[in-house]
Amino acid sequence: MSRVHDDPVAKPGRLEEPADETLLAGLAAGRLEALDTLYDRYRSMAFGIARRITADDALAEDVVQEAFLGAWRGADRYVPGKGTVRTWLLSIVHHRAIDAVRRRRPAAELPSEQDGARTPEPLVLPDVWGEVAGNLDRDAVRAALGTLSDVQREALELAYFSGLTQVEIAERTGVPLGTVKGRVRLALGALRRELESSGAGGAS
Amino acid sequence: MTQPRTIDCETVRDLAPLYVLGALDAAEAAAIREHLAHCDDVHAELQELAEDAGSLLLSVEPADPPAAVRSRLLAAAESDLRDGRHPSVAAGVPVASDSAGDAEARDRPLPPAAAPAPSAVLPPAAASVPPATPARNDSAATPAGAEPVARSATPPVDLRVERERRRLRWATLGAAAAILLAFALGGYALTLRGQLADEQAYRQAVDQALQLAAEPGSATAVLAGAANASAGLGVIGADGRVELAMRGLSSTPGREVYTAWAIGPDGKPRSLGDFEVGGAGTGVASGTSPVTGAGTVLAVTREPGPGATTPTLPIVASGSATSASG
Repeated sequence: MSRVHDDPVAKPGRLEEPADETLLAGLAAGRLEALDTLYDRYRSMAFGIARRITADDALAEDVVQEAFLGAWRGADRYVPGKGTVRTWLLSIVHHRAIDAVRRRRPAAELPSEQDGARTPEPLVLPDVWGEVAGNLDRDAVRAALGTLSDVQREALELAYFSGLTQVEIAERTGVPLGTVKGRVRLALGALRRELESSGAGGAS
Repeated sequence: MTQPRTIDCETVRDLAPLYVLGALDAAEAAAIREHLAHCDDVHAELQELAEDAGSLLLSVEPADPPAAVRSRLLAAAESDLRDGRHPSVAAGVPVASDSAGDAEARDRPLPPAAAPAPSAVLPPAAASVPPATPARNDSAATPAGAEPVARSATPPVDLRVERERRRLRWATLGAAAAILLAFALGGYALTLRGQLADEQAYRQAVDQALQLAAEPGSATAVLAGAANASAGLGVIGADGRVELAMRGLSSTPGREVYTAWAIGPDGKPRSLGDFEVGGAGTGVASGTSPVTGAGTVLAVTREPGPGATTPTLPIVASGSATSASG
């Protein structure tokens, strides 16, 4: 299927570079060299995301390692029709980073057990992940974020990059739960419209 | 433990933005996952919101991790293979050292008879685990010595030389061929759910599809659903024989069936046969298609009863066949 070849990230110029989905099949088959190549391709984005969320280099390193290990063990759970390998992989990094931040917090803040400190929980692989348009770049997304209102941008930042839950965001920002929910929904919609109208992407 | 509670579609839609952003607590997120696993609605809104959220990932400044992370990752992945933790190696069964096929036959997705198909796709040598070369530090990202491997408990594994050597080998792997392999391995998840009979039927269908794909003149289609997890593999032989294996379908109650269709250049769908789907979510079909070759579209619809002559929309999953050449 041509989709495999369409992702510009999966095609770094040289013809002999394997497509992301090829690498993922290699992961499922237990090929270390496929893991190595996939790691090479996305380690910088993965580490950037992990560091942004954890604000802790050592923890971010663990997150990246665990996320790629999760992809290695769960490669057969990737569904080709649901999005690119890139977003699947980076979603795993995101999930893992959020988990790490929450586990790091003092036990009093944790609703349940505290034993997560050293034994990593089983990795929950994403069941929904987006197909981010291949032509989107960092500048376009940042510019689009810049057009949001301050409260919308703050809501997105707290929800996506801080590891806070909706309840904690409501406490932190001093607004009711329903307002948090509404802001986040509006912010995502506004972000999509802005990205679409700037011609930088969108789903189709 | 967080106890998933039961929630309805409306609640899922209400919480969807927070869910895709990761801002729900563990119990709420688990409840949504539980709901999605059983809901007939595909919740397309989640997919769209996930796309919006995913674009946020791109706003992050990339940063190079220390080289030690690669070493630790590869060492951990390697010990997965050694200790049977990786899906490609059978749990509790030592990795067979004699054949390339066995290394990936975790729970035997392919009986030995099918060996010609996968090995035509995957060079046998590539299946063996490359030996760890413990000595050198990985200096790809950082100058040597900049990052002593202090936090690493395991010896670093350096695969850079191996990687260069194997680059060409990977190039020979066509993407379609690689996806075939992914489907062959996909049956693994079913074992966990204990759906043994369905799993065997699925395996057998994938096996037959792979054998057919290895024949000259055959064309292969990867079928994908619109927004849910359904996916499948279909192969059309030069003689019109079709083998289809689907997974991720909702089960068929009562007289309902899924019908497989072949759509040729004239755009006219022809039924290839009906099949039922049980709790494992898998379905298999064999049939004969009057149209063959690359460009033929294989599609699956859900029908109120067997014997449909025109498809009931929407199409559950579809894919266009391409010639199976690496």
